Amino acid sequence: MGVVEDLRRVVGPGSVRTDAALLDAYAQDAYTLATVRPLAVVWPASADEVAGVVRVLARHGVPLVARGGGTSLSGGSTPVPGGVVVHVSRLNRILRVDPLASVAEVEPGVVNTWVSRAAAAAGLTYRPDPSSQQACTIGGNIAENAGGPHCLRYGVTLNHILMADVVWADGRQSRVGTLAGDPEGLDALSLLVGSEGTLGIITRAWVRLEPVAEASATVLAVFGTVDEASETVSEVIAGGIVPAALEMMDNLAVSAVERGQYRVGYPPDLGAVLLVEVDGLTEQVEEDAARVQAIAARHGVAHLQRAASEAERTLWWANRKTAFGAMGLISRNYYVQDGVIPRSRLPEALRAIEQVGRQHTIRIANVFHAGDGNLHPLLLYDGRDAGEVARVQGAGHAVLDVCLRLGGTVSGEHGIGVEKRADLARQLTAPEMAFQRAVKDAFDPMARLNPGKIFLPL
Amino acid sequence: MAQHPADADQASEAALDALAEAGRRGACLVPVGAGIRQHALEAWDTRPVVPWASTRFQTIRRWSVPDLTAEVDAGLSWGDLNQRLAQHGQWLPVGVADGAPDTLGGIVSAGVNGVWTGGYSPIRDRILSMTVAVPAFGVVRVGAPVVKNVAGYNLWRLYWATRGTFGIVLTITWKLAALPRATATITCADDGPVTARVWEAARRWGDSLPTVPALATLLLTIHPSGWELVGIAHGGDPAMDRVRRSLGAQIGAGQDVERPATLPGGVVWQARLPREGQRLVMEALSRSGASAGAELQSGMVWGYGHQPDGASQEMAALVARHGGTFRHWDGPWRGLGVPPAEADMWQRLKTAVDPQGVLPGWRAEAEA
Repeated sequence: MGVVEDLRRVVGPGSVRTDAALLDAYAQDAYTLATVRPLAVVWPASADEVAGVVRVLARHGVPLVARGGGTSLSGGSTPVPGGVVVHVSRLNRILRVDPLASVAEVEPGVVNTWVSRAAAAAGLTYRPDPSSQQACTIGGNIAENAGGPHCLRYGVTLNHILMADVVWADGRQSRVGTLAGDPEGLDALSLLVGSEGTLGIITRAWVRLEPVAEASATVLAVFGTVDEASETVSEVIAGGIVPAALEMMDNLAVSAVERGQYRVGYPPDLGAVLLVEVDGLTEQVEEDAARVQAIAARHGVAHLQRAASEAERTLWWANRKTAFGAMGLISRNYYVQDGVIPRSRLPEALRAIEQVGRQHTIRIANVFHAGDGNLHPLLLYDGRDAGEVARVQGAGHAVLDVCLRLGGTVSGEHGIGVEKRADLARQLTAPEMAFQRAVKDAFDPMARLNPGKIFLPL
Repeated sequence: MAQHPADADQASEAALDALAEAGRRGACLVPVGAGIRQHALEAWDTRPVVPWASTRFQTIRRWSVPDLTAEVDAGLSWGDLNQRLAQHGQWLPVGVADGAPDTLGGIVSAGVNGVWTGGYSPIRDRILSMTVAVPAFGVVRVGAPVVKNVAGYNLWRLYWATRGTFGIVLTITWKLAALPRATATITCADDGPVTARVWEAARRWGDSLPTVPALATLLLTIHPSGWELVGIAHGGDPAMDRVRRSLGAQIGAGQDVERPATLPGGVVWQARLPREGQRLVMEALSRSGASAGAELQSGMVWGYGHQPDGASQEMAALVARHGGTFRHWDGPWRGLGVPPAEADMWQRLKTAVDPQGVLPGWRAEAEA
């Protein structure tokens, strides 16, 4: 019996699809430079069905990639050649919100924003907030160790997952982590978070919720130059202020979002804009906001404004969070890069990225998490022009060279996927890569789970 | 405190030499820091044990003041580190529960958490990167020395609380914090066992400060004749005034009393529990007349003072019944827990990392 028939026995005939049009729709994720048509797409409805699917595929020697919202920007959920997409969208229940323990028990197909929405009545929220949070899923967030603007103060996904149920490569199931938050003994959960689906498939997760702060203030600071904005960021961090979020957009990025739906009315000649949010006790918020504004003033801020209402704050954030998509308003295609530098090196990093754009004749917009040094250069190009595609890929690698040269890393929150396999090999030494591979080989010795990701073929 | 960059290479070479020598002798190389938490040499396994003394190396390798990050030798004590960091208004908010002079490598290796866990996050969340000596791969860096990184697996987490199972920690890069500009300390205390009054006080204090974290620490200590609740807030002066007004008005609390954020005596076990489990464990301990401390925002509990034989096993069982995890620091080491469903995967990794078995392993009977 064939693999498709066996899969249908596990999940039912309607939950396995092999029609070409549908397979083409699943041939890529949000990293559109890699396309692989899968053998089939399967929708299990329970952890046991996920385990059954994994066992069937193991028996047939067919690799798989688990997929949530498909929003990976590094090709983490790009199908594997000859493989099956295991879609977790039917595992989409919020099973419990426990206000006393500040924990939500959720399935992997739950969309990120649903968690905070469910917890809101208890005055709680789920902190990791990737820009794709309206579409990305908790399972995908765990696989990619997702971040977001508000991770500056509150930490990334790794810091918010307490416990999880997992299906391993051979179909066995177990529970990893602990509700107490600090596992005793060997800690498989910490390896699973950020493993890009290469070690196991999460079928349930217990995520940490936190109280919504009493007060917050959002300050918008417009600068004439990127350097002034960068130096403001460095001084805020060095001054010991830990904002909830500290975001930057440069002129090109602003010119795109100001054509979109959420227009703030930024002046067209600005060099860069900072969006700084502080939260906490009312008195602390007032003090921190005043300090941020004083620092910005010392660095020549041209326009300084504090959100006067929740509506204004929401508009500013909507403007920022739709920046990636807004690139479509000024360019046929765009390629989002993701790298990290030490925060104090921001001014020189941005100057070097500008130089990369000039060298490769590529327009580069910058929208990024300045507070933690997590850069997101947006490389604009026309996908119909093969030469331009090649130049943009070269520029992307050159941007990561800048990050490595300044002592950083090739990914802050998008993962390695297929996109950055060569870049990871440049960041790590050969023994460090061998150590990474040893983990994959130990947990998935037959290379069934999302093979070809993170590592280049040997 | 050593300040010589040359120590960096010396530490790497010495660690690799020690691993090779242990391999030649068929011995087990066990890292030892201040020797407070490990009792490592008492019963690892049947092989001869060779200690790796991390305290030979105590250098701050790299300190980026504007980035609030520092790479530090594992043999440096947290107290010495914080003394240095204070020169630029920074600190590593570790503060192990009893104020003992643990080394940073020992804190990592034994999985020690401190009284600032609630206010400044668990210690392991402040680790950005490490250099480690690994039998199969030499000296390698795990993690990255920047505040955000998803490049590959989170290998540095393999070294948290695993007592050298996967290699010798040589350096740790930490995410630092700025020293608080102002502090407010509030206390309340009573004779007798822990009662609902304690939890009511903690709840009202938390409710009156709706933010994360509400306090830098909220420390409950119990002893045979009573209990004390200490709340310490960090921030700017206006916020601290608010804390004093808000909390001081409740439950007859005293204000700005001198209270070091530590527990008395040597901590002999540590647990972490869900909130309700923490309450039940502390009440049980209080009824039995035990001495213990708890950080109420984070679920941490520490037991201290002399413990009779078998007491830590009883405590481990009590903590497990209430959904917590337990680490004992008295008596011989009893080995890491390895869930049966994961045992073969971990064993493959252990074999790949430590093919000769030079480093401590785990015991079959430790399986949960």
